Amino acid sequence: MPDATAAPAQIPAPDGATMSGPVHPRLDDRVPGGVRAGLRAAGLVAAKDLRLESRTHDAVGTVGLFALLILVTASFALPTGGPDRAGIAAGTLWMAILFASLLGIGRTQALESEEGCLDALLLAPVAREYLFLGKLAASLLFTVAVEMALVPVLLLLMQVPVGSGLALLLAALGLGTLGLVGSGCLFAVIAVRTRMRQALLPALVMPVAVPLMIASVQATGAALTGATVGANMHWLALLVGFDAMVLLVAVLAFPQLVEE
Amino acid sequence: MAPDRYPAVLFRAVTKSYGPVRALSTLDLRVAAGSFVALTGGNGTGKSTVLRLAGGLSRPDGGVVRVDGWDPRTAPPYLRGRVGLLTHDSGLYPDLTVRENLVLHGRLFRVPAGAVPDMVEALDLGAPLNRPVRELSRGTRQRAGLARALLHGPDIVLLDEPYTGLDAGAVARLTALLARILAGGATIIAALHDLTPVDGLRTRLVELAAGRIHRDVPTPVAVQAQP
Amino acid sequence: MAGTETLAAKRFAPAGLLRWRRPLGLAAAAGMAALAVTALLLVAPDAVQGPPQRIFYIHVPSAWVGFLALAVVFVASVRYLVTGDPRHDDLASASAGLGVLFTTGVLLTGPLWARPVWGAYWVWDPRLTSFFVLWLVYLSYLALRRQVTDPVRRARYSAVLGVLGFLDVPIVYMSVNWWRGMHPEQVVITADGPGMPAAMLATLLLGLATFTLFYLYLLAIRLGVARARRLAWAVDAAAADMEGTR
Repeated sequence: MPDATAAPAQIPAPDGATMSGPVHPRLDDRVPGGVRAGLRAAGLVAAKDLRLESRTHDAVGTVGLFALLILVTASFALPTGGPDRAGIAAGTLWMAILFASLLGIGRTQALESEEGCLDALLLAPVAREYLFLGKLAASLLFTVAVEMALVPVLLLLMQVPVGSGLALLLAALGLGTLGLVGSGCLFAVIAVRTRMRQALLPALVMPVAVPLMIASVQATGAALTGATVGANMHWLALLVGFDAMVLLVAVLAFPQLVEE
Repeated sequence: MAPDRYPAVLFRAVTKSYGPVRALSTLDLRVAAGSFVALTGGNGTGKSTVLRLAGGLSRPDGGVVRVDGWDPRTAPPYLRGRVGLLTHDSGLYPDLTVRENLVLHGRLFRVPAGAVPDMVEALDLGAPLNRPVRELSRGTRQRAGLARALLHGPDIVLLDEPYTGLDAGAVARLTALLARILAGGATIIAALHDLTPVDGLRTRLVELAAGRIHRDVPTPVAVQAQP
Repeated sequence: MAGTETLAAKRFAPAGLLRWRRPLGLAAAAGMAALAVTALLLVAPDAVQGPPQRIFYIHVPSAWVGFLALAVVFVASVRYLVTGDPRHDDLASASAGLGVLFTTGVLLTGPLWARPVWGAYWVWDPRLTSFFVLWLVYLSYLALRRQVTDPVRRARYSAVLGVLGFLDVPIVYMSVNWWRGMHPEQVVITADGPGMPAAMLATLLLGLATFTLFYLYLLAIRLGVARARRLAWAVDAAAADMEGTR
């Protein structure tokens, strides 16, 4: 993680000039930096998003409703209760998570650029990568909240038991959501700066996220037939690899992407 | 050519284009610490670009930008805390209240306990404090944005048309606040259409045209009133 | 102003690939002619698949170039993100435009080959499916470029997508392979397995070489256009600068 500070001694001292005095006692130049300060800032950004959500109920409420409707429509459109119901349920679940989360992430990112809010955050004395982490954390929480409501409904509508596959289900959901939200947050920063704005987000995420979707759906489908983690390690390993790649690129690229 | 005072803001042959539009053309500007530069010029002459570049939000296509000797983009993050910038936007979340916005930025910048009430007092934000920014009038939102920009007591203050939408009382308050900041040793660069509110404060007038400096006039001391 | 003329000439002189434009074009044309003759007439058709198998000599080289083009996009994107030199962006966008063409060729020749041999136009063969996703990545890249007008931001955003898209390819292939490779009914024909007759191998290599030359030739042309565009911009900017000192 980037170190957020250097020793104050490195500031070039103006020759013979006095440093400007404060209007009122303000931040000390020796603000502690490093990873802890960065994580603290990330926490502030995430908390801000949570507070915004508690006002507007957009990210969890409206998006959750949208996801639910996708599930319901799917249960009308697709055969439920047949021999392949685990596979169909898994596919439907991930379609709902995909579209709903991209909708929410796109909207949140658009809000940041509307009133120059992101610009104001960028002025803060903290390495910019941590700002991305804060947004990522908040989006993850929202998506997981939606999933916690979605999965029970899915199991009910599609008449699928979970039983012994629970561990695999949780692993697939966790790793898949991390990769999806990570790529969503990364491309959202790009998308809102285009002509189509956040409407472009699915077009950017979906091709790159194909392996994520395949792996998540396969692992989830296996979990819903009672398979174990051990038998599906290859899918989970693929998810781990994908997540690592996306998060690495996102953290490295974010500071460059937010510059004008 | 060792300057006896290090320039607070330095632009050397800075070029910046947005696509086919050339915003700045080899601009040279040295702003001494403790001065108040009024930046004027018609629309689209590059004033906002100058402020964004100094604030580290944009990258110049060519040339060098230095704030207190550091490139604002690559400076250690805590040095960024010494710059305050207000753009055309307020930088406030519309669905959060004024207080929530100010507290957020206060915590991000680690301001001391008295800073937020201080700023609320200085810009008369007591009444709208607990209302969502979305509900505020233009002028009130402007004051709240100013509060956000100045909350952490920056040494280098960059303001893009700070007086927009302010009524007479608010204009007086802002001028008094800027005078106080200036007396504290800060450097101010403000893009302005109307110079009257800052007539007593400004030490220099820089007029831009087509991305270059058209006129650069230090204000005679006699015109500068006592704060 | 002789000094500046030389400076401009030096800065914008055809470098690297551009100088080889003509030889590349001739070599590619000759290669295509040779390939056509060899693939259609000289080489014996595969014993099992019959004449349709000849599409293989276009299909595989197209796939090779489709992948190569993305690799070029990746390298150019990384170099752009590191250096900020817009010429790397020129290379990335030029290569992406060609890559999508060749990948479209793969997706067209694939079904044409599959139909007589497997009896269906589209089969979820791991390789064909991976190329389908590769094609989507190209489209996404080109769509993004059309959406951003500012050249610096366009270059930066598409560079990030280019990097991620390329790194994604092996992961895509693995996932599709595991997904579709699990089904025993799928007969994946690997015509480049061991024991390919020497004549077929030689023709395939000719195809690979020819298509690569063709790609490089087209790339050189596109880079030439980009260079001319930059030269025009530089002249415009210089004129504006001179005018600006009113």
